[in-house]
Amino acid sequence: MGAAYKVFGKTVQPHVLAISTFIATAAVASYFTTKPKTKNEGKNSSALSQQKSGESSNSDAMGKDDDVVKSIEGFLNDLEKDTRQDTKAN
Amino acid sequence: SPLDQFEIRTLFGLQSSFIDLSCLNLTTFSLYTIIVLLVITSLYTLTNNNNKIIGSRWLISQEAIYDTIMNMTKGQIGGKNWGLYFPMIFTLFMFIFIANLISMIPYSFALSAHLVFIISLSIVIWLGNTILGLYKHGWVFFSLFVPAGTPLPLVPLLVIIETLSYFARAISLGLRLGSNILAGHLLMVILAGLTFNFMLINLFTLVFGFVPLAMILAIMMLEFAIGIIQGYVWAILTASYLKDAVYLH
Repeated sequence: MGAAYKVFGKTVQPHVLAISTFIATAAVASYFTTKPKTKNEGKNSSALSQQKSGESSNSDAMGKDDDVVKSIEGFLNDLEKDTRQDTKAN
Repeated sequence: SPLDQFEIRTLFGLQSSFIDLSCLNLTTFSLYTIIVLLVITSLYTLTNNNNKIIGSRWLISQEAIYDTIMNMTKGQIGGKNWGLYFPMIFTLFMFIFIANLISMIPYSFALSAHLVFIISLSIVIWLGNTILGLYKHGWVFFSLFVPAGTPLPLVPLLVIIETLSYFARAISLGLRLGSNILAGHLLMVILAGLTFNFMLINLFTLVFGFVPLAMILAIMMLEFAIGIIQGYVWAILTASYLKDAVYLH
């Protein structure tokens, strides 16, 4: 068993370094094996795939926008109902 | 084919139309395993010399083997607890030693040339060592992968290399023995077959064939030595791996 190391002024035991290496290696390996498709990948790949990725990102964005619009509409409907109930009560 | 000598043949088997009883078959492999065990127990019985105070000459040979392996284990593992692991190392050595010597009898069977058996055995030993190390040291066991005196920037690289070499031990321990015995037996069969065919040609080749025959005899002596040395190498490496697991270098 080797002596402890000084990392950024802190004393670190060798087994901690070894376990950290394992975790880092596993993380890097899992990142490269199960890496999701990013925008950069779409740009680097062919024009067709770029178009597809652009479409998919647009559709994703549209979907998100739809959700926001629906929630705003729902909120406004609830608000209208509340105001109607208030006026009836008055 | 020279590989025919390694074929596992069924000598006696039970058959049933309902269940598979092939696990109960008496094969050449199981027969030679039993023979090895019988030879080892016979050797120990012979040392007894009919319960006399002074043992037989067999006792001297057994004591010599015992002493050699004991000193090796003591030298490798050291400390107070070397005796805990000595019976396992000695048993493994005796089994491999006798199996290798029996395999040198012509038309017999080489147990340790079967990679599926010998690598399984080495994986079991490696796994046992790893479990022992984790049981004794917990997380600190992983400091085994950081050699003493390694500069900090090199630690990640060396940890990966050491881990790979540690995992390779599981295979290399068995592969070393298996391939040595396999190659030796193949070489002997091929050379003996060639020499036999050469000597059958005519009277001149029959006389001249004694030259390669003498060389085969020398190779046979070498194979005897390899059989003994590989048993010892197995024992010394098992002790070394145990030392790593027990004392972490």
